Amino acid sequence: MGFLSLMQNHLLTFIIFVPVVVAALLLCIPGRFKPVFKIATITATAIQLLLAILIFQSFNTSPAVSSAIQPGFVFQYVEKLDWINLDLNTFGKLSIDYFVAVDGLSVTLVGLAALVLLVGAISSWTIQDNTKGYFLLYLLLCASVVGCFVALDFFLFYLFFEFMLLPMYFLIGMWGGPRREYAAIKFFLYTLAGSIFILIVMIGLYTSVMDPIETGIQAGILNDAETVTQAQITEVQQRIQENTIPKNQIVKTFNMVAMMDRANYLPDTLLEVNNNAGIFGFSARLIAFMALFIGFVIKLPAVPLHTWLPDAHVEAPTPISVVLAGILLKVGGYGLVRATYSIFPDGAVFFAWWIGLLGVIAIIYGAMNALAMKDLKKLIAYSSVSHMGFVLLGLASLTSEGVSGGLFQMFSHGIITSMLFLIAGVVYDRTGDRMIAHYGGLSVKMPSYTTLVVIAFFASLGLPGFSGFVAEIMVFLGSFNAATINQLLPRWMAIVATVGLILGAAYYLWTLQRMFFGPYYLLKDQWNGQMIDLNLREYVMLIPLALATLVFGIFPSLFLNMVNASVSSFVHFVNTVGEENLRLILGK
Amino acid sequence: MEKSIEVHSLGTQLSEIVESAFFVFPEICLLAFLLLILIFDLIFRQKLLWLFTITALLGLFLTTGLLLQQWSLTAESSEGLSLFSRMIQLDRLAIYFKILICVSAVFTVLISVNYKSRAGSFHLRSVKRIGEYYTVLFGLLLGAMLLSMSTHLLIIYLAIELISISSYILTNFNFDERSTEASIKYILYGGVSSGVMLYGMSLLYGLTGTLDMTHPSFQENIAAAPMILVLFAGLFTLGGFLFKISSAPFHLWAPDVYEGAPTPVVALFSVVPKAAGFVVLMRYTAHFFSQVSFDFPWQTLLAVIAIITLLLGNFAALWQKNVKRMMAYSSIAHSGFILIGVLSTSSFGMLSVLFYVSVYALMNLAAFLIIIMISRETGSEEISQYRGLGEQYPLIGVLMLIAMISLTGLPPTAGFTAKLFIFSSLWEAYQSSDNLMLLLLLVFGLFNTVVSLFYYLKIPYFMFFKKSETTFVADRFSHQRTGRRHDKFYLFDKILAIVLIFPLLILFFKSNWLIDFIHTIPFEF
Repeated sequence: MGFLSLMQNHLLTFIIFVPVVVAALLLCIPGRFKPVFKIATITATAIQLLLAILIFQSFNTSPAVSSAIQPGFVFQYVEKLDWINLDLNTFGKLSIDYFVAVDGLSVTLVGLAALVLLVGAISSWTIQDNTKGYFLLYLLLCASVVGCFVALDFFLFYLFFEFMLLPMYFLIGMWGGPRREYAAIKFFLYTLAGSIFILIVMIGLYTSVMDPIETGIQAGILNDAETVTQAQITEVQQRIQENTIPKNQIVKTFNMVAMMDRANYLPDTLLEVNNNAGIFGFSARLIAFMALFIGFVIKLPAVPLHTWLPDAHVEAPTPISVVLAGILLKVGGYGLVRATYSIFPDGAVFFAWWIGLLGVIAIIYGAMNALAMKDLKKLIAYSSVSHMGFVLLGLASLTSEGVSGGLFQMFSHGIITSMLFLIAGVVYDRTGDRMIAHYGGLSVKMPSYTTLVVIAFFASLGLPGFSGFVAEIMVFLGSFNAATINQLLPRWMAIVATVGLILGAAYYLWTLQRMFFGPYYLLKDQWNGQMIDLNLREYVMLIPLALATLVFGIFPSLFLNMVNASVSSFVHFVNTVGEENLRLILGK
Repeated sequence: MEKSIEVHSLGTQLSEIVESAFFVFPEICLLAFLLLILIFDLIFRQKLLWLFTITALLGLFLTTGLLLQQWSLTAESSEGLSLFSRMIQLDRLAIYFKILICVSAVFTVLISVNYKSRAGSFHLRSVKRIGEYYTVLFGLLLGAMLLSMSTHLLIIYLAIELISISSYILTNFNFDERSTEASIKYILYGGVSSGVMLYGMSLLYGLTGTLDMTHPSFQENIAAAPMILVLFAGLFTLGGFLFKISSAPFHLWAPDVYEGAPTPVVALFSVVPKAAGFVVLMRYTAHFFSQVSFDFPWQTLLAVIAIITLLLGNFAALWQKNVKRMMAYSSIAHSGFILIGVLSTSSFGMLSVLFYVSVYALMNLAAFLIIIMISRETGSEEISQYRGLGEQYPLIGVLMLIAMISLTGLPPTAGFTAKLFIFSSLWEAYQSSDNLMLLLLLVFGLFNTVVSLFYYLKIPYFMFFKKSETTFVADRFSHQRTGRRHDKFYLFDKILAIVLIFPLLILFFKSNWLIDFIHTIPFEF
């Protein structure tokens, strides 16, 4: 069984490239065979989900910290291949790797992505015009989203991160609602502006970070990459700091893991910890943290930079809203954890208060806006903003509970919000209208629909028993305890954030009351015939999601076991290294 | 050959010319074909039109072959040869650019094959002027090849004039009002900037007593001369080069010329003279700017020019409705990006300039080819006429999309890699000089990408998002259906477009295939 073992060893490659291969095959099929595209896409995403389950199954939840080259982070399913090696004269050598792996921080998001993408594919069944284009783009989106969660080479990560924009732009702009073009271009410009921030930092990083192993091989200190000891790496790093390795032997790298170790930074580069030069008198590292933070926060999105989200959501077709809210927002959160926090832990400690504040503002502001929205989809979009605020708050606390809570919130929000957008899609499919005020007492006509709506709303507002509750409680705990554990956040932030919960209950219950209970009412009489209860396809999409949020709400350990080991090493790393770096940067 | 040959007598001079002639074989070959085409033109006027194209291609292939041979002959470490009593310098940098120029010219000829101007006055398959077209085109190429080798101010001037005069004529090849107007504008701007440059050069000669930039006395005297004079001389000379690369403040000619000139010629203009201009600019910065003794912030100066160029190019492009005008401003903006690599002055910077220029040539030729294909069908160069074309012709739509994405500089295209290198070299320059202007340029330049996205995406936007509102295309199509072809695009053009676009993707995933070549160029002038 050569193929099986090949697959076992390259699970991540398979999960990224299955949609690409399917897309390539579909390219050869004429566009008139519409069902072929639908079935093929559903199959491809189903295979992705299967692979994700395989990854989950054999994922080691308590790995031993063994390898010397990974400062506190333990990655599994590592695949590392040389991709581009360049010799750039005085600049030194440059290595870009195909480097993918998962750890506790990313594995759950891979699973979430696979699930949501499958649901999105099923939900895309109703797409009628230009089916071929739609599903090809959707498959490309599937590949790049998953790729983003597993890439550990910054170049590769950036490739996937940027490549998501294009399919998304076309999916919103060609299949979206009336103002789709405006929404699509706004989405593209916002996120591209964000990625420019990321690009600037990426340039700064790769020009200042060397790969200790490859540099060691170039300089003759190491023989090959297989038998590397910690002592040898330390020797290479020391010689780098002493400037005794000639410039053309230094191998610069995009490897994010190498970027996390401050000993890998070349002396006298701006992003090096001991460099006091700075920009306008500020430490370059702190500025870089801010830039990277802004880049990802646009995607998340946090409050001052969130305005693209309601537009994109409202105009996107239902499946794309699902994918957008379910996974793409998580890319922002994941980027914060993986890149911003891990590479610049100093900034994470330094700006913790401000990030926490941003989180609180997002929670309250998003909820207040949701309360005022008349369009069901907009309401859900703003509730997303509010819920993503919890991610920020949890991360800012830099406590185990807070960070796990933030990750859990991303996971659970992915499931719940997918459900919510599907729910909004159900009425929209039937009438082409999403205004809350145009409906009333739907429970009379659509009882099963109403049941699922109630489940989704209660899950989203954080009722105990659903995953959202656990996540939010953990964030509260984490941010409340931060005051005693690492003194990064004041207590009032956690307390104020709880107002978000109350507001959440308010807008959901109010919507429930207006749309589903009370006297039966429709704006237009001709809608009456269209108000039929859920069909099989809608059940297939909604029930698994509802079950998932319940299961993870009742057994949160299913999720927490996966992330615990990684979160505790992450929190430990960011706190200790962040403090140390900050002391060096600020010269205390 | 010794690098410093002192010239004494006519005899040694003559023998040196004879010796040097061996090293300019590619240019001689090009010249021979130029004459051949001219003779053909006299003999076969209005007949055997394909013969001209075949001959031109043959000449270009032969020249490229000779250049490749030159490339393989020059050892990697050699410093380059000074030829014709230090008039020109043959090194790998020059050879690389000459190859680039010839390859671009091959594509230009191939693009021209199916081009038809709006009034139908310029169509290579039916017009008697074909011989003239190729003759002048070869003249331009000759000038560009000469320019990429020249280190002597006189030769620089001559080469630039040769390029310019050929360009003025080529601009007029549509033979309509627009074309003539553009040509006249080009002559006026060109004349002024040539004059300014010549004035600067004469000042430089007065200060140093030599026109040879590589001559030791040139550098010594520059170092000794009074600041104001050197500044004037240097900046005036710089103006001529900026004109060739269509950089601010000498960019004004570009939009009109791009709009008026035949599209294949525009494709050539956007690549060949610009590439040659950048070589000479690189040599000039190495020989002149880095030699001035006083503390002149020339890096800042170039950074300011780059910023202005980026600003003007990108923001003016936003408002354009004509696709060729838009491409003109885009090419101005790209000059700004390439300038960034030039001002970094590290060998990494030079390397990224070469990479960028090569990728840029591919992108632009591809974009113009598709513009030609589309404008032949819609009969218009307005961007709004692109509506609905993406759905009608998915292949063309996707190819155009890739070209536009690459021009914007997004992955997965080589345009991204090129920008990454350019800005990395700028970051390095900033780190070593601590010049805040460079950091500003970095941030500013990258955010210009967002601006440029807006206008580059306009084309795919119209192609894919807008439905064609009238059925006139279909009507026209049914009228034409009586003709020979089913598809509205020539298969030849489609293949050519794929050939041009495909490397843009390849060079993203395997940029080392090109970089490994460029890497062997010793960047010491």
